This record gives sequence, structure tokens and C-alpha cells, in this order.
Amino acid sequence: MSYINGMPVNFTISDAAKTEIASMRSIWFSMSGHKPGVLSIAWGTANYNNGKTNSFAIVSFYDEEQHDEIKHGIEMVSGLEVLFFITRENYDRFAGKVLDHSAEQSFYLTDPAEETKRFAHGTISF
Amino acid sequence: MKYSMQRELSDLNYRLASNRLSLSVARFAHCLRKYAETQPRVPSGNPDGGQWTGGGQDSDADEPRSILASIGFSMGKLVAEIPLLGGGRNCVYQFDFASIVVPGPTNLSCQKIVPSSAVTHGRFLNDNWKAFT
Repeated sequence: MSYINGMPVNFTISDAAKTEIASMRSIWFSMSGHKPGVLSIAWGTANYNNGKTNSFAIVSFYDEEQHDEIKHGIEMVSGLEVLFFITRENYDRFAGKVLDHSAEQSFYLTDPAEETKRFAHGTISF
Repeated sequence: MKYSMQRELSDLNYRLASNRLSLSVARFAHCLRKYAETQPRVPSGNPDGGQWTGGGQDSDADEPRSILASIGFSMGKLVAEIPLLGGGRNCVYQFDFASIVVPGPTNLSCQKIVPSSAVTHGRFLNDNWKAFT
């Protein structure tokens, strides 16, 4: 079990998200000049120049050199070292969720319980 | 009871002001990034004299599609850390096409950069996608 601000959170990372994270890590230094360290998961709000706004999960890396500053907050999630940079106000957005990834949506959060419910009620059509 | 409500109202006002400040800092940082002292201008005597030219951002620059096509995988840099009442902080990152505010706890540092994929989310490439407002 991992924790956000001391509160237990049943959070997992899908295989698709892990693949994308590995891909990001491989190009991180060449794109930014920063050596990637611990994976960070956060919640942010973007304000676009065209006036639109949107909020979503953010997947990034701490710099390798920041390791000592953040080592007390590192959790193991689905086999990866992760740091949740998340306030208590946003705890519920992550509790019980799965971090997933697709080419269309980039990283996003899904609720396995909701998926199960949808299948149970036959709302999924093929 | 009355004191408690006043305190709560005061806290809410502080949070609101803090969020406004974060947004203002992000906008200010964006303005600084858009300004380039060495960027050429249209010579005086022309109708557009003094305006930026050649390499500057025109009005189409606010179109996410065209910007994404040109920047690909870019990074947003940390431009401000705003303390929040009751602990925590807002980390503010700046891209050419957006700013992003990330609230986090006091005992953890802000990441120094975030990738463009954090703010584009692919859905901006979809004409049918409507942002939440």
C-alpha cells in the first residue's frame, strides 16, 4: 500500500503507462538537459493562451540531483519508485485509481470499480 | 461559532487570492518569454512601424495545433512557488502556449520541469475535444 500525505491510497500504474514512462525517461535528458530521477505524479490546472483551462494528472520526473530533498516521500507503486506531489484536496482523484496511457489521451486516470460496474450493467457494447 | 466562520471565510479568501497570484505570475512569466530585445521590428515610416517581425509570435500562435506541430516534446520550466495558507505550495510552470499550476505539500520540492505532454494530453489535437472551463 502506498500513501498520499500519510493517507493510504490504492493506486496502480498500467502496463501502457509504464511503457510510456520508460519512453519519457529515455529521451528526458536529451530533451531537457535534466537527468531524470524519481517519477512524480501530480494534479495540475493548465491555462492555455487561447483562454481554455483544463485539469488533469501530471506525470513527470524529479531531477536526479533532487533525490535527497524528496527521498522521504518516495513510494513503491506497481514496481516503480513514485513521489505523489498531491495535496489532501486532490486525494480523492487518485484513491483507488489506475494511471493509464493512450496515444489519444496521453496519461489519464481510470476507476476500475466504475469499469466493473459498467460491465456488470451491460452498458458496454461491442 | 462566529469566529470560526470568519476564520473559514478568511482562509477561503486567502486561497482565492493565492490562486489569482499564481495565475498572474504565470501570465507575467509568459509576457517575459514573449519579449525579446533582439527580435527585429518593422522600421519606422511603415504603417506597422515598431511592431515585432520575423520570428515573433503572431496571432496564430495561440492555436494549439500549429504550436504543437512546431514544438513537439518540449518542457515547461518552474517559474514560481507560491505558498498556500495551512501548508503546501503552488508550483507554476510556463510553456509557450500555456501555464500550469500544480498544488503540492510543503514537505516536498517542486519538480523543476514538466513535459508538454502534461498540458497537451493529446486531446488538443482532436478538433472535437472541448476543454473544461
